[in-house]
Amino acid sequence: MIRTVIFILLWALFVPSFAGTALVAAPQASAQQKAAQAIPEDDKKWWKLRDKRSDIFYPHNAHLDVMEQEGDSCMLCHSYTKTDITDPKKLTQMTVIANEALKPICHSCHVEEKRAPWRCDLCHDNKEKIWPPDHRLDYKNHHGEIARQNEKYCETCHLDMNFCTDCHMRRDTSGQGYHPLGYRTLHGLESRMDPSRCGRCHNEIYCSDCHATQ
Amino acid sequence: MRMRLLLLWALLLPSLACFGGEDDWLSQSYKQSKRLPDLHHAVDIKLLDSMNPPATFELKTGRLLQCKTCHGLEKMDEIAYDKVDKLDANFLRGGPYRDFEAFCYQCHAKKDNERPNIHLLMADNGDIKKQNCLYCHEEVNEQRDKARSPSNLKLRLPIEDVCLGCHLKTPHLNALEHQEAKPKDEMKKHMQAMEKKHGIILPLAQNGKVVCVSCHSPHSDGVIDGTKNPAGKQIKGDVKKGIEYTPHSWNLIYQADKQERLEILGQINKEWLNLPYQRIKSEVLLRLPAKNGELCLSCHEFDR
Repeated sequence: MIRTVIFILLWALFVPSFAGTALVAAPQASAQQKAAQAIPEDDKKWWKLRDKRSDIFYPHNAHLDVMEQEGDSCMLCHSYTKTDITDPKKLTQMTVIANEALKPICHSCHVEEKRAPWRCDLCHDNKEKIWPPDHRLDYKNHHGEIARQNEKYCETCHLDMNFCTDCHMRRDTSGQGYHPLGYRTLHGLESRMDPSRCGRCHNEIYCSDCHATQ
Repeated sequence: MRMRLLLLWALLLPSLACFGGEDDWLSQSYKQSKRLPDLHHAVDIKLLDSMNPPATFELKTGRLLQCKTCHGLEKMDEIAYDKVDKLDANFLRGGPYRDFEAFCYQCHAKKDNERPNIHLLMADNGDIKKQNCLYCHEEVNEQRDKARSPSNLKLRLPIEDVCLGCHLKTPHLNALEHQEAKPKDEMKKHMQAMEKKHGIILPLAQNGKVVCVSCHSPHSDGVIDGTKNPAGKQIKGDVKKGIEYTPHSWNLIYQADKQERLEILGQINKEWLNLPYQRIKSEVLLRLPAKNGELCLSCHEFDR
């Protein structure tokens, strides 16, 4: 009997704290909270975090002149629209959406009109975040088939032929790109082991340009 | 018997500890909680004889105000607050109202209740409308050619609160984020340089935080004739008209870009929001022009 009483008392003391935790956050959320606490207070501000986003880089100074020419201002992205929302939580959520980068407006200059530099990695420094899903699995070795079927599909992102010719027409085998540094010295061994692998990218002329017998 | 009581207590304690939060009344109806939301109009008060609301605004016997007077939802006082459909066309008996005051003016006469624009500080003859100064200041600064020091402004409320008597704390997006910000030394140095460059002031609260008047100048052109101008040329704008916008073709693109995210937010909050884009045509009572970014760049600077 005494054991039962002790057990009930212990249960009564501990359960509220367990229940409270469950209501506030899931176990993984509490781990996230700990991680968040490790971030200095000032760095938790949403605009600081926004700068740390790896998928978009916006050089403000580089845009000052063009913004002036276009008659735009900071308020194109940082909206100061009047609002009747008074709930700070809702307003903050709304403000985050208002401050998100405007893909169609960025792309109108950088992609559609090509009035601005159109290299994706200028703004998107993590290409994996903007890749189509089919690019994730060894796409480099299998892109030819799709490219032959629908060249336009490639051109939606790869805006000029340089992206293709950088590999398909290259002669400067300095090691940057597909092959590792020093591959020119070592390529003979691999080409003898599996000549068809070279053929995926290179035609015969590519070899005979250097290896032509007199 | 004692044992049973102990067991019951042990069973109930956790649930008592977990429930009973502050917002619980929102899941109840007015009939249950007898509590009205913050800033809600009083009910069960008798209307003045001079007040003539539209016939659809139902009053209780004895000309008493009830839920039905303003809200056209059936048995609304029996619906839990968080279940009330605020988007129902009849929630405020019509609307949406371009200016919410239009709803109030259906009962309250506009000419007797309209709030004056106290920022219209200059009379046509060039004199200061002293009664307008006294909305914010305890006394009128008679020496207009001598700007008062920040510690001697004799404001009725601290500088961070003085605007909130008439204006919302959240009048526009990005306002809250600024009000919570405290510029660091580096930014303060830049602000001082910009003050000097543009011949303006960019005041902060005593605790160093950004306030409404850091960006907005409450005084129209010519009110303060001191050596330090409160703001640049854009304060010459028409205070009566206020800020004016012009539609822009990017509005459609802008809205399409935000739509998906706003829909998700709307589903969470049960509130459908819209984010339009328009360009500023003319601005007024700002320290520097915002429409070309000068105001923003008086505090913010970028490496790249």
